[in-house]
Amino acid sequence: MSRIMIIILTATITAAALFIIIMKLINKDGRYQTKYDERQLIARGKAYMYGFVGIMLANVVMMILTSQTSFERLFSNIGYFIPIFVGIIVQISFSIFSDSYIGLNTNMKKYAIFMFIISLINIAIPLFFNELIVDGVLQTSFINLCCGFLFLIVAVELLIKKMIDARED
Amino acid sequence: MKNLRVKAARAAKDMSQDDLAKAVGVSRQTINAVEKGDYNPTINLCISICRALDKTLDELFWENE
Repeated sequence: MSRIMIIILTATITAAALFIIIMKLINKDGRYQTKYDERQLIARGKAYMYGFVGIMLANVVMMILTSQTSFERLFSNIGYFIPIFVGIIVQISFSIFSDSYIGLNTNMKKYAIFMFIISLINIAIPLFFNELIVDGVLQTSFINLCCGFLFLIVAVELLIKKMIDARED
Repeated sequence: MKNLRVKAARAAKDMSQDDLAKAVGVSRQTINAVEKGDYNPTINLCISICRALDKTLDELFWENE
């Protein structure tokens, strides 16, 4: 692992730890915690199960892909991320379409707009400020691109789900 | 199997699915799933629904042969 990768990883873990500590301090009474009903909790459990299966399958595909020399070099920096990304997409998609992604106290419209803005920022970073591929190796900015598309997928799926619900009503 | 009794009791009280969902603290989709028979609610949710609709458990959820 290169020195830059170690610095990025350490900074990410530190930022995540700080975020969790701050959120715990702010949210002592559970006011900002997303609340789900019993059916949603069961559906979310299933979603995590399918997400896990997605990670396993994506891992197998990645192992087969990276056994070929060209792909091994291409994914040498961020190969670990692809299965996680697939797992998250599976988990979120199942949650959305089983009505268990948006909690009882979440404003769906605000959330979808927030997701859309975050996705644009994440897509813009690798496209305009960083190089995606250097010497045939995908760079860490590819993770930003994946996250951008992930948030965009979430926003679009929320929109589709809303349209399906409106039609059912 | 559809639970038409919940739907009928809700309609009799002039409540929408959303109104009932808010009264019992669940999502509208959960009430919809209960009415359509796609989801079997726990006893706690059954009791909450009965209280919100002024009915007994027997009236709404007991299956007569």
